[in-house]
Amino acid sequence: MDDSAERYLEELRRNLRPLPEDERSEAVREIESHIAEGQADGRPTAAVLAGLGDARTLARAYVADYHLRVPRDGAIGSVSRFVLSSVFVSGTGLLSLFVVPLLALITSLAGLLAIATPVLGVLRTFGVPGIVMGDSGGWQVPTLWSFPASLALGAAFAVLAWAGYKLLRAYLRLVLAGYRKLLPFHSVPRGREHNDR
Amino acid sequence: MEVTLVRADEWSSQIRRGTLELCVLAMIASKPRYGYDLVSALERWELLATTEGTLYPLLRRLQREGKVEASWQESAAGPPRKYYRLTPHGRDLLERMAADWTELSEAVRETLLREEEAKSHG
Repeated sequence: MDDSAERYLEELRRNLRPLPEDERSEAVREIESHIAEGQADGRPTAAVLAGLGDARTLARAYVADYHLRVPRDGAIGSVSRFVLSSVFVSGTGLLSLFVVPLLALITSLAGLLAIATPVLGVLRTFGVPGIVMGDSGGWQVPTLWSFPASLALGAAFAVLAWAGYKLLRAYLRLVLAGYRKLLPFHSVPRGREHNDR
Repeated sequence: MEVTLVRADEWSSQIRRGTLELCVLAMIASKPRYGYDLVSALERWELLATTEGTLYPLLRRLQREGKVEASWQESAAGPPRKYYRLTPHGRDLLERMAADWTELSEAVRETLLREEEAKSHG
């Protein structure tokens, strides 16, 4: 395996990201075997790679074929599919009504506090009145420690905001993947055409 | 004229896509074969000639759909090869597809022939 082949496989691997890990490595392994086979056959690496076409286009063909599902036929299949779709759509719809605004609120609020807290800490250090840092028992953070303490608190808020954002993204991705699975596209996406000679 | 040519190209490309699956299934019916071997064999037919970029994703899909099964095998001199063979489901499918294809091509051939004759007699 020389440099150009390595680069090709790396690019292929990167562009296969939408696929599950085992699909990815299986595809890369087979293409790697194809390249080695061509080389053993006495063909120049460049010619073998040219035959495979652009790595991104090849990856797209894999991804498109992965989503290309066999349409299920038969009355029972379509009825159960319809029921399943309805349950999924209404179920996640109802859940999203709570989950999405809640996570969005937590994320934006925590994000705001992550920025505001250190600012307040700085102000308190310089003696701006009306900023309370302490517990309900009356204990107060020493003025000199205002900034480090506020920085730590701000960092905690930042972590919360980040976690909320990640969670929201993961949730949306999960729901969208569900929709995609229930409504497979049977048409061949554009871009596969380029693979035909 | 340009438009007609593009249309004809597209038509060929669609026919090819549909028949490639049948050919691949047929080619591994009698003995297991690996990707590189299939590509080389398909290169012989200009109309069928497919790029590796089309064949490998197709093989992967056929495997996922349970029409073919595959296993990696070490080769004496060279890289390990992924050999494909038909599953019982794939074999059934191939039989049906082959029968359909024979009937279809016969119908097309007869239609073209009849029209040709009518033209020369009329």
